[in-house]
Amino acid sequence: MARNAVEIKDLNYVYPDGTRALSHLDLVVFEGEAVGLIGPNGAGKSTLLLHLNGILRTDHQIRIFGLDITDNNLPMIRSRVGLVFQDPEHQLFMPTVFDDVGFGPVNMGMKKDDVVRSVQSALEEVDMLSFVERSSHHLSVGEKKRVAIATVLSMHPQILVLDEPSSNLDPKHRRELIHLLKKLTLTKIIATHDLDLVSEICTRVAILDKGRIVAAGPAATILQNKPLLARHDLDYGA
Amino acid sequence: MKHAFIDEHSHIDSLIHRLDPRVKVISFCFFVVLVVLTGPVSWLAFALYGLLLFCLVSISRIPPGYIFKRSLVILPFVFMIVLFIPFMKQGKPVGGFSLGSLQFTVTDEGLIIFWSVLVKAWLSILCMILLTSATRFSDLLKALEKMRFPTLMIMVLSFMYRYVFVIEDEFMKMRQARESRSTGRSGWLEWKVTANMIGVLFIRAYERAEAVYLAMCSRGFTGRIHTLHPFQLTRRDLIFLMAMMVSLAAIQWAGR
Repeated sequence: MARNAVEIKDLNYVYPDGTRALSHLDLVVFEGEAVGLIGPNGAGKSTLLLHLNGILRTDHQIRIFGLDITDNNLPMIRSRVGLVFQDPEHQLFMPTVFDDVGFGPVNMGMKKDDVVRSVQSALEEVDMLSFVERSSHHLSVGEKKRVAIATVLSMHPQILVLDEPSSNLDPKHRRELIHLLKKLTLTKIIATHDLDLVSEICTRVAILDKGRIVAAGPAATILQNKPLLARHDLDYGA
Repeated sequence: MKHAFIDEHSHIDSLIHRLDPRVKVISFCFFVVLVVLTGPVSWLAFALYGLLLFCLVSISRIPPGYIFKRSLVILPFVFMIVLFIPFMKQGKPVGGFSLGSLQFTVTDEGLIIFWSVLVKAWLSILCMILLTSATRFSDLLKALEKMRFPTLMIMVLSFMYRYVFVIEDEFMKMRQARESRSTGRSGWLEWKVTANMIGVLFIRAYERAEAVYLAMCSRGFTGRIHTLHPFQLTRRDLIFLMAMMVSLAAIQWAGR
């Protein structure tokens, strides 16, 4: 039986302006799984993802590999959970690709040689090694997305969390990204509208609507259930 | 989108480009300090400084026209400051004019100071442009960091370098969107809309900063930026440093 990678029990979150983003949310993700979080805009997907590495915090409702998210555990949690933001302009903030991919490892206190090695292997994994000395702002969107994924891979996470990985990509780059994500074997949690991507990568799917999980199950079953998808403003053609 | 680079010519392979950035920062700043310290009538020294600079530019293989053009962008600001010097200095009057009841007199000493300040400023600007064009911006920041420059300032500069293009892009897109929807011209409205756009741009930049901060926290940021320094001083660097020091000292001595 696989370990619980993520365990969420009765998670509630209200934004400072009073908007209720998440209510009584329960979710378990097992190690090695790829879970697709789907749902209409404003369902709370991004908010949920921000909870997974303790950027947003409430009390003791989330455990990552059995660890509570506390001040003491935070550095450990953040190196285990690699969160890739939707907009790579946010993810890439250092002057060069090398500095960006090395940012996490350096913060983790790795030695210089290990940092260089991590950066190289992470960039190699996303097939961007030749861009190591480039400035992030001169990359194309597809290249930026790849480097953004490398910035967390270099921290050797056990869970990869992606927010809308395929948004703004043309079909070719989207295909390449799907291929890349399939290749990565770690536990994945992917929030997206791209049901095609979900069906290719994810083993399990959870539908999030109005801040709660309304359905969860094997990807094939959920994606075939057209009435269910339609009820939550989702549409899957294939 | 294509942008003008800040460090457009920083990828040329030349002696100047290959130098350790710390050596460049030190020797070029030393150049500026000595230029500023030179007496006001040492025209020979100024000419020699210019010659030295010209040699450095030639070695760096950056097109001199590029450096000259960029200096013209900054020169007006210098001009605005030095414009009043000829009128302020006491001395032998060489001319003047009156504006209503006010009498303005230009003095000989004032003019000398005016020209020397202008020349000094121009030489310094050219030198700094050469430094920033012949060094990659990220290397320059690392050099400053290594030289114990305040971290906060380096962070500000580094974010500026990363996001100035993003913000410029955003502004350009907003302007295109505005132009696509505006028919006919109306001067006043144009200004009003531009003011609004600047406001929106500010809010977006602010929100972007928050998102970037979250992304930094996600990767273990705790308030201090750590980077790796791959620099290694070589004999070439030391020779360059010595050569610069010696030529600058010689020029100072010649201008005495």
